[in-house]
Formats: sequence, structure tokens, C-alpha cells
Amino acid sequence: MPTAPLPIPSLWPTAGRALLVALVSLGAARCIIQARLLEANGGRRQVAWICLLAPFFAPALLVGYAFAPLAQMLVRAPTAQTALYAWLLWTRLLPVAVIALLLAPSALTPQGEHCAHLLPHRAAQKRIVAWRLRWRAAGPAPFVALASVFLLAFGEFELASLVGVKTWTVAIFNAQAGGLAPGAALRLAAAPALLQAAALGSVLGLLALQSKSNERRPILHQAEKPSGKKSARLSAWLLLGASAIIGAALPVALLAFGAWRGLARLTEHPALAQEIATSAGFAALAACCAGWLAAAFWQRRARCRWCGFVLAAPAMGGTLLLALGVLTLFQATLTLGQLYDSPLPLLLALTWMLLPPALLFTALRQATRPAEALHVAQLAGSPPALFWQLEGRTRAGVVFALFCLAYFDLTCSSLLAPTGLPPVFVRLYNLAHYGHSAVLSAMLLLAYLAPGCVGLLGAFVCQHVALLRSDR
Amino acid sequence: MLLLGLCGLAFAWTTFRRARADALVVYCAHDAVFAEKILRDFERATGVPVAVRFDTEATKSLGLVELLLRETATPRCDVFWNNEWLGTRRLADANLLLPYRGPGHARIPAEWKDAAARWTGFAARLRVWIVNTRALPAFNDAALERALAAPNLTRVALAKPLFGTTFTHYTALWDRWGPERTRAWHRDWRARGVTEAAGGNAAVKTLVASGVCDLGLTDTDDFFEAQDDGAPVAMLPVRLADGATIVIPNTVAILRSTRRLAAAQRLVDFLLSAETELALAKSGSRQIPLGPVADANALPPEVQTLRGELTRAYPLAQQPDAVAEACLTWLKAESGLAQARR
Amino acid sequence: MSPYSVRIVEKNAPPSAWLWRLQEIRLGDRLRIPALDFPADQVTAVLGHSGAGKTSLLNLLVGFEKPDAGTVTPHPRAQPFFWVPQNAGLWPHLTAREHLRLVRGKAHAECDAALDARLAAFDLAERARARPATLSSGECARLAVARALAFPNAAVLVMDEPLAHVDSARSGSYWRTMRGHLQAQGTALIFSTHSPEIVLAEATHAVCLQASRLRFAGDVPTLYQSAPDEELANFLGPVNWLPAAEAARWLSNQPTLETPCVRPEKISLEVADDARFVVTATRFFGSHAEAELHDPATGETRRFFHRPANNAGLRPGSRVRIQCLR
Repeated sequence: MPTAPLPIPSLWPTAGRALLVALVSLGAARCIIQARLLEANGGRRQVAWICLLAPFFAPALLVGYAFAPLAQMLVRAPTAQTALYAWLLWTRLLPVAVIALLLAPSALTPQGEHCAHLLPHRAAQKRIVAWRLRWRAAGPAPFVALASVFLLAFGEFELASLVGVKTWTVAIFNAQAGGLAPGAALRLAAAPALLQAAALGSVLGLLALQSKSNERRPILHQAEKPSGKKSARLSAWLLLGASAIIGAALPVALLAFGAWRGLARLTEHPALAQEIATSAGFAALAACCAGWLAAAFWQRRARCRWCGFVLAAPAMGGTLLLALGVLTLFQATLTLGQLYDSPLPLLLALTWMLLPPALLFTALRQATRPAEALHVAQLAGSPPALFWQLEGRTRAGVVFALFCLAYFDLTCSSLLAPTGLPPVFVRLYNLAHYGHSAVLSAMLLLAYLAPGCVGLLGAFVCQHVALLRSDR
Repeated sequence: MLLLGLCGLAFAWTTFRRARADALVVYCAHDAVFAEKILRDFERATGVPVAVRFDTEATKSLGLVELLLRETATPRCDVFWNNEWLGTRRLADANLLLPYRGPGHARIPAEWKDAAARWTGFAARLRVWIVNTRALPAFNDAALERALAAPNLTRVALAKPLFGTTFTHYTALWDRWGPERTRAWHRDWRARGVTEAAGGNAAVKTLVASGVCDLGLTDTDDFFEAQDDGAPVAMLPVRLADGATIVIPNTVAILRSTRRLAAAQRLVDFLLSAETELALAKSGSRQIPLGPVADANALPPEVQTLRGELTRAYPLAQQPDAVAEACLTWLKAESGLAQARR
Repeated sequence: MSPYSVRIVEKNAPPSAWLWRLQEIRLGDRLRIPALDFPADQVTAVLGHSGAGKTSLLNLLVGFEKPDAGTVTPHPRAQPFFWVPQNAGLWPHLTAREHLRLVRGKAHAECDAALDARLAAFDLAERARARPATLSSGECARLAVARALAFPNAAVLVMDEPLAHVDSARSGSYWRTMRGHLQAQGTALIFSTHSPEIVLAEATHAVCLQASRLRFAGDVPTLYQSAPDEELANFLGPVNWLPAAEAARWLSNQPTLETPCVRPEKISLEVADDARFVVTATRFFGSHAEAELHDPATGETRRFFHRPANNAGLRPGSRVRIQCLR
């Protein structure tokens, strides 16, 4: 079979689009952070966080399924189709930019900025001074945010495939399915991989420089009230609202609207429950492994933390390359070839895929961990229920977030799932190509809600175990 | 969470191991919506458990063919149910298929099966033009010619020619027109802006049914799905220069590496039976039986009509091997070149 | 809690005697002020417990926050002003010396030696090239104050708990430096603090906040000698609050008190075997002492603050009589 290598199509358009999404995400993230909606007291803070994170946890299949008809209508207007895809990508990746900025906030406090405003300079000079202050004090956070979003946008595959936009990932996938061996496909992906390595390397280098200075506690610890102009807060709410509606609420609403007629016919698909259980099983194990690895790396010294980042680096190149790499590994080596049709390849790929977000969530959790309060609780021999309140809930939330990311995965599952253990979204992805139907919408809705039920059940069990142990 | 994960995986793994202990592993390129029911019927009828692997819609069949070729060293598949025949022929040429002449094989006419019995065709579909009747109300051959002669073909859709039945269509043209004319026709259509749908024939169907495009190349099963959904569509069989239609059968074959030969043979006979062909004919895909059926009137009327096209079918089984290989080589190079220019 | 009472001493002052005028101010739940003037040519201390609204009030003056309702009107003579926020508000990428250089600007530029001299006044000369990330909390606090003093021709300096992280052994000298600078430049000062000693030593005017409301605005001696209620009196240190009936019961020399507010220096405890009250506990704080006295006849026990020369004479079990000094 001829396997002449293909040139990588759409590499530079993909890179340009990813850069644009990254820049817009950074601007929007700065707007949201400056409006301090995520630090406000009371219910507004929770609403802001929900709006921010909802699109990130809406699976690509769900979003693609909801917007596929619109994308197909735009098939003769490639620019509009690409704009739709970029918009959807932006909603999914905005939380990444926000969290990256929150983890390493500018050392310039708002008070410091106001002091600069009071200086006895002319207005124009004041603006220059203020801009230079902000730029110099920002540190590596904007670059980390920019690079993180760029990497995720550049390596994205599932949404592009569903919406029908040409990206290098789709081209590689089609070439691989069309006869190119995984090893050759990986070689073909060398150019994009180099681009990603450059972006990742610059981020790691900046972080290395940053780590030499005093550690900053992230902005989440400052109990500052929302300030600034009302127009800034309004703009931030508009951004969050648009992101949440387009990226999560609208797809779920479309799904639910179409699903109610198909609910009664779910009994015709008895395999659905087993597939959901399979996906949940893989996701839970991968989440626990990735969470444990991230915690283990983070608790060690700085050098070990860097090892964690380096190990996680390949996963930043997107799930497609990761899956192809694991596939090559298990097909090409004799020893691992025996395990080719076992759950191990998929479990390995999912765990690896989760490592970057696991490290990020762990960093965030460590930064917001009430260390003094926990220590006092330990000294006082406090009951487990207190530890659950102080730390356990957050840890469970992190594992649940990782669980959702693995549960909704499509690429690794479609390439690596063992025969007889099909994850649910692989089949639903196939069916989604036939277009909308009531029973498919019902199946998607059930599959989408399953993690929520698992999460609630898990939280209920953990909370009651903690209470029971406290009562003893 | 760990507890839940272990429970979940234990449940799936016990089911998996119970199933895999004697499960027949089937790679199926046919649409999962229809194939799953047939395979579950087989399980119920024989008690033989089946573990199925489907493929993605966009790369249909070709992905599974490539997977089977790559898994030569680590085989796991017992039976391959393809929704077309070119890929199956490639596997036969790679000596991966085991000949089997069972009662099912005997039932199917010679023009639809491999001479060495390495694969057998069944339940076919036709390549057709699907047309949006609101855009083109009175559609016939003359109207088709006019539509295709227009300087702008952006309202005409077809799937990527690298995969599935569209690729089979191209090989038929390559065989009948020759390479030069086929290449010229392909480039001419692209120059005139033909819409290439990324999601396969189903995407072409959706584009035409929704009115985004007026006309498209797809298969009969996709057409019937649109019609059943109430879309304003009509169809016209694709005819080659000599009036031949392009009939593309499903094909089934046993992998040489199988360790469950008896069960595999039972599945092959089941799929090639009159009952299965009838079931597929009555399903939403309206697949055309290739073997004799006891009562032709039991077939849906549209299938009865399409059955008449079998006698004018392009002889796929007689297509030289070199045609497909040359066509695919050129298409891969062309697709890369086109995308690099974009 | 005693009913709130607001005592505004200078409400009839001429309009030009104020720096900022606040009217009908509301800032969320953090601050509500019907009317308040900050007098010119005074050093004003803003007092209150944590969460009373001190920082919010100062933020309004410097324009860092805008009120939800009401107006904050700066007088032209309040310009220009500078600010020392509670978190120092330093510029993270500038060295200590560069902070002062930037504040001086080109029009009032000084040589490095002069800038270092300013830093030396706050024991920061050796840290001239250090950036805020490498300074301690106390050094950051001192740098923030040094920066404010370097601001050229400031009419007013607004400081939110200045030098709060600085050890008390050295804060006296820093306050002397500030006082000298303010007097030389004719600069007014408005600052918030928790320290009664600083208020008594440095401020002439006091604004007291409690539970986000204005409780008192007037001169410091009035607050010290004649606070309207015990809670306000406590802002300026320990107080013996003796309404007439209590005074008659406890004080042996039966004085006629103009105000129930009796500071420790006005109380004398005389040891005498025939005295009525018994000492049950004593604590010596240096600047004052606390004695817990018991009246066997009535069974009452009460705490008195007084200012003895030393703690030698008073022991638990001693009998004392209480006198109010004139």
C-alpha cells in the first residue's frame, strides 16, 4: 500500500487561528479579572465561576452536535464556518486563560496602580508610567495564559472534526485512517509538534525564571471587594454570559429540547448503560491516577515539580497526537503488543491526557488551601468532618473535574478502546454524523448527565462517611 | 471516587471478560444503527456473544481496513463486515482472509463474491444523485446534465473521494473513463467550486435535505433516511457512460487469524441468509438483496424497484486490482496538493 | 450597646477650613456617613475597630473607591495629595531608590545621595537597590511612608495604618521624622491607626467609626477627657467610666465629676488597713496598671485603671481606698 507522506495542510491557518483565539482569550480574561467578579463575596462569585467553567466542561461532542447543523449551513462560506469554530473554541478555552492569570497574578496591586495615578506628572506621562508599571509587574502570567490557550487551540481535533473545519489535526487523523501508519503519522506531525514544543518551552522557561523570585499568593486569597467602573463589570458579565450561553447552555438546551421525545425509546438501546459504565470506569481510574501523580509531584521539591511539567508536556500537544503515540507504542513493540487489546492503552492515554490539568488544579488547590487552619485542626485532633470541609471537598472537586474531562474524551477512546469495551461517546459520535434525532438526543443527554449523578453520589457518600467517622 | 471508579471498571471488566472469553470479535463498517440490531439478533439466535467495533462515520471502512492491516502482528478480529468491497479485496490480496464456502456463500450469485470465496457480497446499495425537490422540482437526466454544466457547482455536494463508496465511485470512473478523463473531471469540478462534505455521504444527505446544496452524490441508504425524515428529496441512480449503475454490496469475510472459526462461519452464514437480507431491505437503509428471496413482494416497493438495477450493475468484482491502487495513489497526492494550495 | 451619638465639633467652621467634605455617603454596607468635614491644618486620626470602615473612608478620600451614594468634595487646597495604602502599594519592579526617584519626577529630581538620605531616615539606605519582593513587611511599610514624604509639595498625605508592621522601638523615631517633614512642608496628615499612643502624640483631630457609622468627629483632647460614652473613650486607651452613682460608691474623696470619663492618671489607689476595698488582682502594663477591687460590703467587684510609679505596693489582699485626682 503506498504510504507516500502528505504535506501538512492547514498548519499555518490553524496556527493563526489558534493565536487569534489565544489573544482574544487573554484580553477577555484580563477584563474578567480586573472586574473582580470571581473574587466578589456572595452568590455573584459562584455564578461567575459557573459561567466561566461551564463551557470547559461541556463535551466537544455535545457542542459539535448542537452546532453541526449551523456549521453545515455555512459549508459554502468557509470564513463564517471558521469564525463559528473559533468562537466555540474561545468559549471552551477562556477558563484556561483566566485560571492561568489567577494563578500568577500581577504583583502590582490596585493600590499601587492608584498611587501611580497620583504622581505629579502630565496625563500622557502618567499613562506611560502606568502602562510600564503594569507591563513590568505582570510577570509571566500573560505569556503562560497565551501559550496555554494557543497550545490547546492548536491541538484541538474533536470540535474541528464535528464542525467540519480543516485543521492539521483533522488532516493527520484522515491520513492515518487513510493508510498512513501511526509512526508515519507522527513523523508527519513533526512540524506542528515543533511549534507546540517552542510554545511550551517558552512557557516553562518563563516559569523557571519566575520561580526564582518570591512566591506570590494568588489573587484568590485577597478578600477585596469588587471595584472599578460599572461598565467594566458589565463588560465582564457580558463576556461570561456569552461564553456560558454559547458554550454550554445553548447546546444543553438544544439537546434537552430534542431529547424528551426520544426518552421512551432508550430501552431499545440496552447497551447504553454498559457503555456509560465503561466510560465512567475508565474516567474515574484515570482521574484518580492523574490526581495522585499530580499531588505526588507537587508535594516534592521544585525539581520534581518540573519533572511533572515535563512529563505532562506531550499531552499539551493535543489528544490526537497523544493517542497516536500510545497506539504506535502498543502496536510497534512486541512486549506491549500483548496488551494492545487490553484496557491499558486507553487508561494510559487518559491518565497522560489528564496530567496537565491535574497539575494546574493541584497548583490552584495548593494555593488556596487553608494551610494554617488545617494545621490547627490536626493539632486539635479534629474530626474527619472538619477535614472534609476544609480540604476534602476541594480535593474531591478536583478529581471530579478530571473525571469529567476523561469521561467526555472522544479521540483517545475512539483510537484505543479495547474491543468489547466501547466508551459511550465513541458510539454517540458515530451516530451524531447522521444528524439530529430524538433518540440520539436522549442518549446524549443521558450520557452527559451521568457524570453529574456520579459526582453527586460520590459527594454524598464521602460526606456521610466523614460524618460517620466523626461520630465515632 | 476511586471506589466508584473501581466499581465501574470492575463491572465493565467482568462483563468484558465474560463476553470476551468466547466472544466473536467483529469489525463492522456498516452503519451501527442497522448493524447492531442484526448482530444482536445473531446473538439471540445462536447464543454466540459478539463484541463489535465500529468505525467513525467520516472515514468509514477505510479506517477499519487499515486497522486490520496494521494488526497483522497482533490480530484480534474474527469477522470483518464491510459496507463496501474494495477494502475487503485489499485484505484478500494481503492474504488476511480465510476462504469459506458455506450455505450463505452458495446463495449469493457469482458476480457478487470472490472467486476464491475469501469474501462474499450481500445487501447492496446504489450510488445515486440526491436532489432537493424544492430547488430542482422536475428532476431527470436532462435536468441533471444542465445542473452539472453550470459554471458554479457550489450547490453540488459530494463526500471526500478517499473513503468509502465515493472512492468506489471514483474507481468505476477510472476504469470506464480512464485516468486522464477522471483526473480532468475531478479538477474541473473543484475548479467550479464543488462542495466537498467532510462528514461522508451522511453529510451530503444533510446538505441537500436542508437546502444548503441542491444536488449531491450519495448512496441509497442515506437518501432513504432523508426521505423518512420528511425532507424534500428525490433520487436518480448514477449511471456510467454505458448506462451501468454502481451497485456496492456489503461484504463479509473471515480473518485467517481467527481462533473462533466455527462461530465465525455461523455469523457469515447468518449475514448471508435470506432472512438477514430481508431484514436489511426492510430496515431504514433499504438495502437490496443480492441472493434470492422467497417472496419478492415482502420487499419494500422501493427496494423492488432498485432490484431491477442489479442487472445493469457495473461489474465491480471484475475490476482490475491496479485500477483501485492507481486511483487511490493519485487521490492521496491530489488531496494533499489541494489542501496545501488552500 | 449604648445609643449612638455623633458629636461634630467644627460644624460651624468657615467653609475654607476643610480639606474634604463628605455628604450623605453610602458605600455598600461598609460605610454610611451623613456629613463629615476633614479640617485643614490639622493632623486627623481615623479610629475604629477592625471592619469599622477606616480603610473604606480613606479610599474615598483618595479616589480609590467611589461611593454608591453621596458626594466626596475635595477642596482645592487639598491638592496635590498622596497616599500610603494599607498594603503599601509599592511598585514591584522598582528598587527602593527608584520609587523615590519616580515620585520626585523630573521637576524635583534629586541625586542618588539625596534619595538615599531620605531612605536613611527610615533605615532603608542599605536596601536602596532592593525590590519590594525582597523587603520585609516592615521595610515595605517604611518605604511606602518614605515615598509619600518624597512626594513634592504635597498639601495632604493620607496614610492607612502607616508603619503598622514596624517594631515599636523604632516607630517613635520614624514618627518624629514624619512630624518634622510635615511641619516643615506645611503638609496636613490624615491617617488611620489602632494605636491610642500615636493618636495622642501626633493627632489633633479625631474621627471615630463604629460598625460602618460615624460616631465622633472632634479634637483629640475632647475625646480623651470628655468622651461622650465609654466605647468612644476606649479608642484612646483605658478609661474608668464612672457615672455619678458609681463615683459616689467607689471614690473616697467624693469629687464632683464633670464627665464620667476618668483616665488612669486621675485615679490614685491608697493602701490603708482600714480602707473599704480589697485588691483581688493586679496587672502592670508599664504606662498604666490595672487593679481588680472587691467591696466586701456589697459583694461588688470592679476593675480600675491607674498610673502608679511602680507596681511594688499593691498586692492581692491589700486594702485600698480610691481617690480621684484633680
